[in-house]
Amino acid sequence: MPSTNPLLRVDDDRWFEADPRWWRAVCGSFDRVVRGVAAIDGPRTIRVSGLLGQLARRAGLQGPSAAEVRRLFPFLTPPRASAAAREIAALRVRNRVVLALVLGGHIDRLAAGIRSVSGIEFLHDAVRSRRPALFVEWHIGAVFGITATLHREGLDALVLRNLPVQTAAERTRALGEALDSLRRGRPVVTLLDAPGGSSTGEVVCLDRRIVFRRGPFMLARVTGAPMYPVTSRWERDGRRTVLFHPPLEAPAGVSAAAFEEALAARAAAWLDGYLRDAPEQIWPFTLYNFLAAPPAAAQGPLARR
Amino acid sequence: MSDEIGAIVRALLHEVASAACTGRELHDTVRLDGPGLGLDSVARVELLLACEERFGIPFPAALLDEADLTIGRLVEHIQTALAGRAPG
Repeated sequence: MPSTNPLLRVDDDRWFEADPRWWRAVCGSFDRVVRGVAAIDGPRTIRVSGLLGQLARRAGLQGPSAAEVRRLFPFLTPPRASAAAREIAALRVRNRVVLALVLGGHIDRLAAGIRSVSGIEFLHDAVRSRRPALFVEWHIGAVFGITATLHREGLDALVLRNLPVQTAAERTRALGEALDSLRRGRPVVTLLDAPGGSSTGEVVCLDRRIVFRRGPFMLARVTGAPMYPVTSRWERDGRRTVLFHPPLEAPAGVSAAAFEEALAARAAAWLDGYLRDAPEQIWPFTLYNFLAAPPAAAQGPLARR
Repeated sequence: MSDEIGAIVRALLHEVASAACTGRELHDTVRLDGPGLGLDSVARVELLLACEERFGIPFPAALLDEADLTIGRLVEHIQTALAGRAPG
């Protein structure tokens, strides 16, 4: 069965700008090769790519270091921080393969790598009842794998990541499409930490002051859609466990601004708990973004939007 | 009628984007996006939602695509939508 979701745009995804130019060129070539190889044997390519990521880290070609991981997760023991750093390096390259499979239209091969899916009833209920529902993700785990889950379950949802959102006009159009979907009872899947667009006020996560994209919180407010966190977790064998989590509790009896502020704070608290439990699921650029963010203890109240 | 609609639209603009509107003359020719009021995607959708609710017209989705949408154009759209709804 063909996927109900259009393919991702190639130019939406880039390697770190901070990487050396020659290493980015190598990674670009890797992407092109892997698109061909992954089409032949996706699961094996994912396993091998994980090893490649770990080797690249050991050779000093990519992060993160165990020290960087411990700066964000200071409660980790040095051995656990090292193990997490290795997994994060593996995740980075594995995600290239997942993206290659999505871009190449090999959704079936990607779906075959799903070990288990739990909480899918939240999505089934939303589709069956035609009530608005927002499924939210972050750049953690195998985020592109959610598309494969929708395909496997034969469920139709609007995945905002699949729409062009580079310019303000495109983002406005995408937001309008999401609003229309929710009103018609079609679930919407969206990232809370996508680049571009307008931001929420500051929230605290992993003892840092960060912001999320504001659009999903506005949509939750105006449509009454519950917000369900979704994660696609990498397992050590290169397979993925997809988890649809219970909805975040929606604030009641508050103003529009307070609603969004409170829901964003709850989303941040949820992400905080998830990452403390599974630090190896964080994407390298998410980790570096957190490290660059001001500490929660910085002077002054949290900035409001 | 258009003056009345214009006044309401300007009041709604102040509600959804007060910072962008403060101290500005909101003429009909002022654009809602970057070069004008600089409304971001969320504020623009909020404004159209507010117009939908206040005037009882369908959500003006067609205006989402208009890169150079002005206050005057929005007022005109609302006026047309209201006229189309009027009996007889």
